[in-house]
Amino acid sequence: MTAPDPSPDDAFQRAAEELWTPVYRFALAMTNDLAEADDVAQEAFVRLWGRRASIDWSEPILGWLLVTARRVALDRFRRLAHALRFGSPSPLPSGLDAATIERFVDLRTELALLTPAERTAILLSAVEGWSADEIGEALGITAGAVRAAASRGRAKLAGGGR
Amino acid sequence: MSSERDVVEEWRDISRRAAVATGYRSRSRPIALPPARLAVGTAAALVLVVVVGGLVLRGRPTTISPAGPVVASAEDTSFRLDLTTPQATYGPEDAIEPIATMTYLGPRATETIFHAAYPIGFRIEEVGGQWLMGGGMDTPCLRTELAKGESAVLPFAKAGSPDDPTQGFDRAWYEDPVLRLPAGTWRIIAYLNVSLGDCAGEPHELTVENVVKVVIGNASPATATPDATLSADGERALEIVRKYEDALATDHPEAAWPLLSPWSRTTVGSSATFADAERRARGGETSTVQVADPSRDPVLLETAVLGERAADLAATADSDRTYVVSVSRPGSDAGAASTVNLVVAPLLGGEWRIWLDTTSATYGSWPYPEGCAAFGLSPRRCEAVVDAAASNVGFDRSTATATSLMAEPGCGFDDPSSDLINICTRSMSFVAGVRFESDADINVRSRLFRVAGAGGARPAQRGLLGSAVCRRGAGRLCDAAAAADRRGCRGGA
Repeated sequence: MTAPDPSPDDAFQRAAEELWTPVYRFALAMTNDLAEADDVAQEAFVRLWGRRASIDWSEPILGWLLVTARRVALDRFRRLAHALRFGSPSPLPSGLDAATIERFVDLRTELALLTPAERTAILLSAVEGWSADEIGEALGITAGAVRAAASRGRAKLAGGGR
Repeated sequence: MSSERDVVEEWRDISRRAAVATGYRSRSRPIALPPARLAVGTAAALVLVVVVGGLVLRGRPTTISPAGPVVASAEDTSFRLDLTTPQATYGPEDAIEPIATMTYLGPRATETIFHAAYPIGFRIEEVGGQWLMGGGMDTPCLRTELAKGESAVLPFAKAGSPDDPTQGFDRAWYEDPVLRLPAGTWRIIAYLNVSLGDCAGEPHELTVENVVKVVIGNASPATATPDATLSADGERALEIVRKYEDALATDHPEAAWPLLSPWSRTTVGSSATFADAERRARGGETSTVQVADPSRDPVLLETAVLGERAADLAATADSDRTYVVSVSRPGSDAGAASTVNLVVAPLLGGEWRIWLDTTSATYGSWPYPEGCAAFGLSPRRCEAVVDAAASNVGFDRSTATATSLMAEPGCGFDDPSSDLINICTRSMSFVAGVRFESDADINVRSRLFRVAGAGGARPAQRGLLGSAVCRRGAGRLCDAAAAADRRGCRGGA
C-alpha cells in the first residue's frame, strides 16, 4: 500500500522547509546582499506557492526555484519598486546577530570583486556541492561557462581582484 | 587577503546563519478561495457563520480618500484583521478587488487556529438599500498553523445564496467571479471568526468594513480625475502615462510610440521593435494596469536611479517639471507582475514625453530559456531556434555566458524620429532574434526568419535564415539578417 500523494499545500510546505537554505544561498551568491537575498528567496517561494496546484511535485523542484530566484534577482525594477513601496532599502534579517552581519560586511567586500556568476560558481559548488551542470542550469549558462567563471573568480580572489 | 578556502568557509557559515535567521515566511501567502461558482453550487448547503459569543470588535473607522485605497483594521489580543479596497469610487463595470489580511500577533510563537472553511468571510451590504450578499461558508472544523507575525491574505470571493430575490444579487452575479456592483454606496465587510484550542475553544472575532461608492460615469483608475492635490504638471504627467498605458493595453502601439521621448525612441531602436517587444511583454494580457501618482521624490530623480536616461533628461528636459510615474503591469508570467518607472517631463520648450527605463542592450530582450513563451515557442522548439541561431553565425554555445531572445529588429530603414509605426514587409516572417554573450566580451546576434508559407509544421531549423555577428567594442554593428533585408553593418555597438 502506498501513501497518498501529499496535497500541493503539503508539498509546498515541505519544499519551503527543505529548500529554503539552498535557495537563499543561491540568492545570496547572486546578490551579495543579506536582505536582498532574503527578498529574492521569498519571492521565489511566493511564486512557487502561486503555482503549487499546477506543478508536478513528483519532479525535483529546486531547479525551478533557482531559475525563478535568478529571474527575480535580475529584475532591475524590483529594487526601485521596493523603494517606492517602502521608502527604504530592505531591512536586514531581524534574526541575524550583529556580529554575523559585521563579518559579512567584511566578506562581501571581497566577494564584490567577483561577478554573480563567479560567486555562484565558486561558492555553491563548494558549499552545496552542486555540479557545474547544476549551477549552469540555475544561471542559464553552460557548464563550460560555469567552470570558466569559477576559474576567473579564483584568480580574482587570489589576486585581490587584479 | 583571504584564501579562497577562508572565503568559502566564512561564507558557508554566514550563509547558514542567515538562512536560519530568515526562512520562508508566508506573509504574503494567499489562502486560495474557491471560485464563486462553487460557492453558488453549494448554496443550498451553506449556512451563515454563526457568531457564538466572544468579543466582537468593530474596526477603526474606514479611511477614505477620493483616490483610495480604502483601508480598515481591527485587532484584539491575538489577531489583527485588515481590509483594503484599492479605490473609494468605482464605475458599474469596474472590478472591485478587496483584500483581507489576518495576522497572528502572539503571544505564542506559533498558534493553531480552528475555523470553518476559511478563517475570514465577506459580506456586501447596500448602504440604505436592500441588496445583500450575506456571505456564509461550509462549516467543517479546519485548522491552520500560524506563526507569530505571520499573515494570511484572502482576496474577496463571493459566497451566499442567490435564491432570495429581495437580496438583489442573482445567480449570474454570483457566478461572475469578479466583484462588480451597481450604482450606490456599498459596505464591504470582512469578518474573522476563529477559535483557539479546538473548534469550541477560545473565540476570536473581528469585523472590519470598507465603504465604497459606485457611480455612473467613468470612474476607472485609468480615467479618474487625478487627486486634487496633484499640481497641474502632475496631472499632465499622469495623463500622458495613462494615455500611453491605455494605448499599449489595447494593442495600439502606434498611439503610444509618439509619446516617447527622442532618446527613448533611439534607445528602443525602431518603432517595429517597440510594437513587437511591448506586445510580447504583455503576452496578450489586457488587464488594467495600476498607475501611481506622479512623484518628484529627489531619491527617484537621482542619476543612479534614473539610469541611462538621466543624461538625456538633464540635457533635453525641464528638470523642474520632471516626474517619475510608477506603473504596475500584469506580467505575461502569471505569477510575476512587474513595476516599471516611467519618467515624464516636457522637452525643453516642447511637448511632454516619456523616458523609458531601459538601455539599447536590454530593450526587447528576454533571457533564454525563460523568454521562450513570449515568442510562442515550446521549450523544444525554442532550443532548436537557439541552436539554429548559433549555427547560423558559427557560435559555440558552450562558450555563452548568457543567451537572450530578442524582439523584432525592425526593417533597417526606420526613422526613430517619425511618429509612425513602421511595419516591416518581408518575404519571411520573424521568428526570434537571439543574442549570445561570451567571456570574450563578444556579443553575437542572430536573427531568424521563417520562409513565408513554410508552415508551422516544418522543423525550426528549416526555413530559418539570416544571421549577423556583432562584436561589442569592435566598432561595427551588423544587426540585421542579410538574407532577410539586405541590411549592411553600421558603426557602433
